[in-house]
Amino acid sequence: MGKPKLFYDLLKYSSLGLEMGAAVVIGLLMGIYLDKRFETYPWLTLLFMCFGFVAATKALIKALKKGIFLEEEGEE
Amino acid sequence: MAAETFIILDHTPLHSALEKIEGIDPAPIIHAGLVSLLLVGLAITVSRSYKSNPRIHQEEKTFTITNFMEMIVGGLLNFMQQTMGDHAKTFLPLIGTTGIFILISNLLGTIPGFDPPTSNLNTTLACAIVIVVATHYVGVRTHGVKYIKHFMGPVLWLAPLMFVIEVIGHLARILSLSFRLFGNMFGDHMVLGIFMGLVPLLIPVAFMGLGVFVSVVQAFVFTLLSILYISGALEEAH
Amino acid sequence: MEKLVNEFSFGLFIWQTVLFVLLVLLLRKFAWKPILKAVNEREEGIKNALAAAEDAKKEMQNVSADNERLLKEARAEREAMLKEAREIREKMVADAKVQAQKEGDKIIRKAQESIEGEKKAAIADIKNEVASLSVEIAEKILQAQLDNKDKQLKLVDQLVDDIKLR
Repeated sequence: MGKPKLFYDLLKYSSLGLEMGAAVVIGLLMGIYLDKRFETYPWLTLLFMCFGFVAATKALIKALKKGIFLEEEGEE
Repeated sequence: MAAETFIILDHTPLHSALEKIEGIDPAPIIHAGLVSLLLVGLAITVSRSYKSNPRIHQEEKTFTITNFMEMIVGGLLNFMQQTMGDHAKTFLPLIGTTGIFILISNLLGTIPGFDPPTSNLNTTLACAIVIVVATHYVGVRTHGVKYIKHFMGPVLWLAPLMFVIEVIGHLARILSLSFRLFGNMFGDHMVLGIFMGLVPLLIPVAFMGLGVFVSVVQAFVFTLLSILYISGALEEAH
Repeated sequence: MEKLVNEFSFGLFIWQTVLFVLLVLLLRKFAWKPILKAVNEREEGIKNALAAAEDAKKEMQNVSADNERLLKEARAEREAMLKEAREIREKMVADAKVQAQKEGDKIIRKAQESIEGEKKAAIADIKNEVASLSVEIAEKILQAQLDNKDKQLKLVDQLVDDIKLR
């Protein structure tokens, strides 16, 4: 039972980096698009980039919180 | 695109027809179609073997495609039951198809002359979109309106902000899912193509082995991440 | 990076999505459902076999427990019967003893009674005899001494008093 869980967690953590990067990129792209649309350069770009950062951090926190493997390591 | 010299399906009538209609490079579609045909053929073989002999047991030691497929299904089901329990059987068709499609697509790249469909961003994006859409569909279906709580933070006045952030997070998932597969396969295929061009003997074999390894690992990663995302949508909001 | 992003083309993407969804649906129909069914059936079969084995085991245990119980019951019954028989025997012996005692007592009492009766009768007989004898004696004596009637009576009384039994 322990092995697949370890597997999942390793996978989650290893995929975390790309996900965080992607979050920032997505935020940036959304910001650029909205700035073009509403001609408010550079404010929305900056704002959405911040959102992207927050989303990345949130993904990190979520992954750490839900780490089944890390939780169980203490018990076993 | 990489390794133009090895694409043999570029000059079929279907290719030129598609090119005329869409004005796009149809090679990935043709390759994906090839993989799909292969899989459907496999599926029909398997289902036929069930029809001719409905009770095939694993005790039969002979190696048949059906037994092999059942072995794969058993392993996958086991993996899925670790995270989503009883739901595993519901999502097996989706996850299983994704996994096997990506695996065969990846492996197609190791055969000289073929491009893996997954080395095209559009293919991987299609897979990722299907998975993510299925994830949210599943979420809405199991939780109803309450599913929106997954997107809201714990504090009410922060909810719109959290919603934007969560949407960014989910889009990032699509992006990371598709880009990981695409990047790995593209790079792998590119390296293989370059070495094939440079030294046509022996060394490409090593890279082919590497290609097989990367193919299997990436298909596995994609599948497991899909399982994780879907089981995440099945959970209660916290 | 620019080049990679530029690779995205909407038409191709839509086509691939449609193709992939179609593939999912087709495989679902042709491959996953039958395989899942087979896997389910096998699981069910294994489960059933296990359950049957469990049942059989339980049955066996029940049977042996039953046997054990029956044996115990039979033993207890035999014990009880033996005990009862012993009790009956003892009771019978005791009863017989009491009966015999009673019978003996009765016989003895009867004998005593009859002895007593006989004794009394004998004594009465003797008394009567003695009385008549005395009278005869007195008559004889009185025949000899006819002269005095008063003397006579006096004598008789004296005689009777003398003969008084203890």
